[in-house]
Amino acid sequence: MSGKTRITEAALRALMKDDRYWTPSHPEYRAFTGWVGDGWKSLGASRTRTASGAAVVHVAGYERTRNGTVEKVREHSRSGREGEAATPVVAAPQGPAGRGGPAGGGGGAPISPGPGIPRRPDLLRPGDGGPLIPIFPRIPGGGLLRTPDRLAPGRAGGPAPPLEAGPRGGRSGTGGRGQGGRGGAAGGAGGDDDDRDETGPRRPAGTGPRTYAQLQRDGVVPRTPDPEAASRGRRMERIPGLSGKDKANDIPSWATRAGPPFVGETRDGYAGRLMDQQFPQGWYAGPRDTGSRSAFSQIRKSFRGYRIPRD
Amino acid sequence: METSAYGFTLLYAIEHFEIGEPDDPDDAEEHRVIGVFSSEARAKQAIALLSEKRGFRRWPGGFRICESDVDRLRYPPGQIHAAQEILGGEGVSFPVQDPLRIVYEATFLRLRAGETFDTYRDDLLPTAIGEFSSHELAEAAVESLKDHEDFRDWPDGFRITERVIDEPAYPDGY
Repeated sequence: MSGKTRITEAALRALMKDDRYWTPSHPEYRAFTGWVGDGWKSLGASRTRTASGAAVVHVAGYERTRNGTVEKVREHSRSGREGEAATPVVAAPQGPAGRGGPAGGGGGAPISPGPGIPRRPDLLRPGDGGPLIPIFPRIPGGGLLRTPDRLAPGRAGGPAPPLEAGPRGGRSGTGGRGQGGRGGAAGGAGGDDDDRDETGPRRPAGTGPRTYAQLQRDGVVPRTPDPEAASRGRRMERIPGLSGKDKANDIPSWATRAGPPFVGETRDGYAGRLMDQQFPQGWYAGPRDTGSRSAFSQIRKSFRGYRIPRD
Repeated sequence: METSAYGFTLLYAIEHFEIGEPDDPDDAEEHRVIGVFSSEARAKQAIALLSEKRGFRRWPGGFRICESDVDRLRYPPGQIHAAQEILGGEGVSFPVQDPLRIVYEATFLRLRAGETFDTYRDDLLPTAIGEFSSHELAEAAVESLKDHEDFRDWPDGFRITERVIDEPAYPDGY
């Protein structure tokens, strides 16, 4: 598992054509896209690039499961040479102090700005059926995700308050995060954003996109009134004679294949269920993900083309 | 400007639906994108101005504000990496606007053969790809999706729309 792999722009572009990059339902989707993203980021920042574009890059701290044991791998980096094996990754013991960070002992490589990317032979191997890969959670630094507009009251335009004195502050960069700026400035109160399963452990605030089920648990959206509807298996039926906007069936093919809503489902619940099925690693990362012209919205809108069967 | 939970620059997008204030936007017959604004206060001021204009005054409660993060690929859903990181790399960089004044909105429509954006059937629901800080980045985002199974059958279905921040569309109504 330890070691680093050479990366080039061509290699990363080839990796982006892999099904695992584009198939959210694939069990390796999350780790694979994260790994490729780290590759792009590192490639751009690498100071040790060869003439062929190969580079070794910085390795962020991550968590992995090995032999059933969860291990925290500390953030580490080193300058490197093309093709050279890297400094062994040192797994910090599990626990509050095990989170990757510059402090702490353990004999790992010292943390310093520099390039590196973990070798992922499991991800490089094509095809399915391989062992489950480690999980690489993204820690965006906490902060509350904003409440979805459509799912929260009070978002309609009301009387305008006095105009503020222009945009606050200046703008830097290109609108994305700054280097190493995974943490968001907005939101605050990140400790309130724990994703707590009723029976499972806490998840650190804002570790990644959430599913509809997680949004329900977090109280961001109401729980589906009849969560048992799917288990009964009774489906709604298409309303005949509809066309155009009323039909609203211009939805992704994977949503079409999922079939009509179950009797008893709300349209939010229907859209959330299909999104969770297609993107089980999470799909909600901001209000626009449920807003107008989102996949969630399109599926939700298609709900009006169905009715309860007349038995 | 504000920053989203994942560190993206945050804008406030206004859309107008022909519905009342308590109604569901997904039940609207007509829908218009008004623009993007640098703060919620500016967005609300724009709504106050437009509410008096022709067309809008019939549906003064039909405005909706939604936070929008710039340079986040919205497809596949759940992306939390900056588009520059995903689409950039060695030899590929994107222009930087400083300060940000214009965003480039990429959308997608499943156009039938022979249809154009001016003639497409009205039951189409555009898919938002994202709002980007440069046209080049928006083009790269579109290019990255053209081979995806949800888009590959409609290679001409992508559109990039330029939107000046804090300037509403339909200033005189519709």
